[in-house]
Amino acid sequence: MNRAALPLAVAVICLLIAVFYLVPGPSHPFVGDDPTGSHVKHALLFFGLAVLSVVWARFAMNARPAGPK
Amino acid sequence: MSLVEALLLAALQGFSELFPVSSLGHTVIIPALIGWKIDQSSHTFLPFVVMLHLGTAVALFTFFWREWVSIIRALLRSVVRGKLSDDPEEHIAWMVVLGTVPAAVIGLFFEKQLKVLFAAPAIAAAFLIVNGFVLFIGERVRRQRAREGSTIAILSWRQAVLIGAAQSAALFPGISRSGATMVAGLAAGLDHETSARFSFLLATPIILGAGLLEVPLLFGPDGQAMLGQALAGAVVAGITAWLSVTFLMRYFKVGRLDPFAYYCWAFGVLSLIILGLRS
Repeated sequence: MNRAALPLAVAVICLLIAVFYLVPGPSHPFVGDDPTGSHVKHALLFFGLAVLSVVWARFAMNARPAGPK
Repeated sequence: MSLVEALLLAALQGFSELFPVSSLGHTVIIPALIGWKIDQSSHTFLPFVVMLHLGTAVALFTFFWREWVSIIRALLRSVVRGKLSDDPEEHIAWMVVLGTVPAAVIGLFFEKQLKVLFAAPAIAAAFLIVNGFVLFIGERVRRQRAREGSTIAILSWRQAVLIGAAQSAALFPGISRSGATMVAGLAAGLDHETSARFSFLLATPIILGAGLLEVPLLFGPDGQAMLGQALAGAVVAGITAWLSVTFLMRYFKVGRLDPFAYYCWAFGVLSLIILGLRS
């Protein structure tokens, strides 16, 4: 399996969650108050995690394959 | 809140934020002990706290500016290259990033709920006593594990994440962020000075982020009402935080966590007695 597959999947999931927290209407979990409002801080957090996951994917693609020394 | 109360609270926040004695616990307990009528859940109090955090974060950034330049350069180098090298600076930089993630996630998800549940003076005093035990036990663990002259680069990724996650304990008023991360660092084999350095490096983006995300509040009507006190408070918090970090980085060259544990026990027990007598 491509070593970047997992981090890229995590990045996509984080991006989707970021969008979910931005969109007003649905009941957002773990927000303290106004669950149906738009939650920029949560969205920013998940957007940041998505960026980190993309960096992780880039590192994973360029990592040396494990093998006999 | 008067200007004098604002400045005293700022000094208290600046000093106690970096000492392993819980700033949140102190800002909950002390106003209750001396009878300040400060409503910490009011809309005008939050912009004030934001500015105190920004002042503290600026002091930390300034104190460790060489480390931060090195960390940012190392991060950019590794991202542009697309892989990690054996450079210890890159290792340290990514450990700071990874250590920040769990505290950011847990803090954002649970801060409000935990504040509502536990931000009472008696509960904060009880947690302060618990904090004393954490520091005391951490010091005992250090004697078995610490390697003198250790560097942050000896940590594994897993250890960095666990130390970062320990910051979340500070969501309980009375449990210290720097205390929890320092104890986790000591348990991972760091010496006091290195553990304190890593603790302060981890605290900086969290404190700064928490402040910056709330900056829009300063430009609302609630923020305008408190802007004078908030600006003066930020300067005082910054100066006291600078003095604290300067003292602590010198202290932890040879000092230990035990005295802070004794302080937490004494202050926690005394606070519980006084609060109990009053109720």
